[in-house]
Amino acid sequence: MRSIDLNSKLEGKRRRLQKGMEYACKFALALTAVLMIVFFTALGYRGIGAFSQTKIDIDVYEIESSTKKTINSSLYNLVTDMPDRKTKKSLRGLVTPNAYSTIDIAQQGTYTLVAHTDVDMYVKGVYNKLDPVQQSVVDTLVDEGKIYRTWNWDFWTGSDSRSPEIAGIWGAVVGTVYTIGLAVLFAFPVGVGCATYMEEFPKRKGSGWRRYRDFMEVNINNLAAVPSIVYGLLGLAVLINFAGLPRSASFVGAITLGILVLPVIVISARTALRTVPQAIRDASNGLGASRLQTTIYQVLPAALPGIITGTIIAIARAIGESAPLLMIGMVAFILVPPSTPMDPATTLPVQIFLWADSPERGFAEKTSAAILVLLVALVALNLLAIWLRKRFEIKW
Amino acid sequence: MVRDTLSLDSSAKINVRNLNIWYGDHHAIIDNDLQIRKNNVTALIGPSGCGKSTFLRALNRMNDFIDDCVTKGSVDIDGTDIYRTQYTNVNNLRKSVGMVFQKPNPFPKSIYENIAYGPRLHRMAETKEQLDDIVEESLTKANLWKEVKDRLYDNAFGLSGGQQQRLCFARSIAVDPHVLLLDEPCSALDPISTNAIEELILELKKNYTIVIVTHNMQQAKRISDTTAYFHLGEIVEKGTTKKIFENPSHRKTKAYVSGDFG
Repeated sequence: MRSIDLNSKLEGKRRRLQKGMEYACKFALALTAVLMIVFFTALGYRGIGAFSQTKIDIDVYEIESSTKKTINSSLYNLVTDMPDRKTKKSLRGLVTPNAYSTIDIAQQGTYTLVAHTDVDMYVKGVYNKLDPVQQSVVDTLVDEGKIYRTWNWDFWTGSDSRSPEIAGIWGAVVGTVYTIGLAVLFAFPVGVGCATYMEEFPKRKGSGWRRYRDFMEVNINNLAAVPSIVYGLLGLAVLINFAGLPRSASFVGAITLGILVLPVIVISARTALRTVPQAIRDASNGLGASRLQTTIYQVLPAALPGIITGTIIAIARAIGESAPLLMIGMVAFILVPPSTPMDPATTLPVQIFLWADSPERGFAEKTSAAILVLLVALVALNLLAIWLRKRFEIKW
Repeated sequence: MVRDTLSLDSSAKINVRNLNIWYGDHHAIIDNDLQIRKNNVTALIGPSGCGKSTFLRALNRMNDFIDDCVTKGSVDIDGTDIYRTQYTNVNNLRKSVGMVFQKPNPFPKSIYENIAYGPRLHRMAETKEQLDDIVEESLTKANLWKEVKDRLYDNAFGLSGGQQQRLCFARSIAVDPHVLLLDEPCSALDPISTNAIEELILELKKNYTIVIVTHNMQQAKRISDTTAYFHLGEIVEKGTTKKIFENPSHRKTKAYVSGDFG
């Protein structure tokens, strides 16, 4: 007699296979998590030091003819004996060379100076490059509380510098804002325009416009996969060599990155336009709206959340780009933040590249810290994109 | 332009003559002739794919949006051929010949914005007060005002399906049309909402000429004055609803209205 078999041999095998598959996927996810944790921990461990800065309080008793002399003589007072030339040199090396030009000392009192990167590294316990004189002075001052670590404002408000102790990301941040802001101003309208033409305006089968659209579609999809350095070469050849625009300018970087993200914006805008139901177009056309009115008043607003989400993701990609900017000379040593888009500028990823390339040990922690800042900015942008999508997405 | 108005029934609002429509190679509408009377409800019935929706969409040229659709023949509305006249402003045509679709399709905006959109397009109101009046009047005519007057600025997606469909009626009414084309307006609704819509149609017919496509023969029987039966793109039989349902002269019509197929 035939009866149902609920426990066939096949079933056991199937179940084992499913379990195995499940564990394999779980392992893959766990591996990703571990790699991410290692990545962030390493960056955090190496970069956390850059957020604090070592400072020295010096007591000024006599005012000399120049600030430099005043500071130097105050430094010589840190040892009890009359210092010889070698000791003097060691003592002068305790503060950043930048201190002479940034502080104005007109009367007696206690002044706070930024310590030299070697002192900074010694206090942070990274490495010891101090000579015995410096080391004993620093140890004493640390005990007296005259050498101490504080929040590193210079990292946020400063620009690039030869001295790692005062180098900061502000110049690169301003350059990034100019570059990305202009890139979006350029790429967003052009990209949305392309997408609207391709999706909303009909082209009869076999017509020239239809062939043109199909040709552009293939090209745009292709452009999205072109290596970014190629855009840099384009910017160099066309914008700088041919059009004669200035090198290192964020304006040139903006156009280059704008072309880079254009395909991404076009593709995401087309997808967003396609999710708007035909019924909405019918409703609007049925009321006597022209095609343009339907597009402007109904279709584009309904697609806007999707378009903006796609654009933000494109911006996130552009912010992380460095290769094309190297080609157009935005790999500049920027001591002063650019004040116009035509000024020489650099961006955060390029600044990271520059610092990573610097021999001074003090730049190592700056590199990691700048990477952390960039990552936080990217995470914030992606969260913004997710939030916008959740908040404004229309459930049809 | 020669206008053959003398041969028309004087109460015909729309006169369709010799209408043929092709989708590519597919001949969807074959030699259709139909007169649609003013302030009447004309029902178009027939099995799926018989061309009744295509016919309906031909009346306000919504088929223009379909890529490979070719229309031949004439559709006279108030004596003007909407296809042959070179200067037919299609946007104005669609303002005068409104349409309500199968699935409620409100705009993803507030109830107020849904209604105000059409009048704004056609600059029908000069002041905010006039626009408010149009919105109130349209919603009242669509039997929806009482239900939504306290939440005019809420999103229209928050309404029930039946309310949304009445909102679509109000939206069409707001641009002051002459004719309303209804493409199976109750097919996505529950019986109670359907009932509300049917009552609405009977009220609206006093002021508008209504053409309705329906799959529901009982509905056609309840609300229409005239009925046309479509089969494979041809109008097999047309006449008063009473005659079509009680004494159809054509074999196919008889089989369809008695429920033998379709």
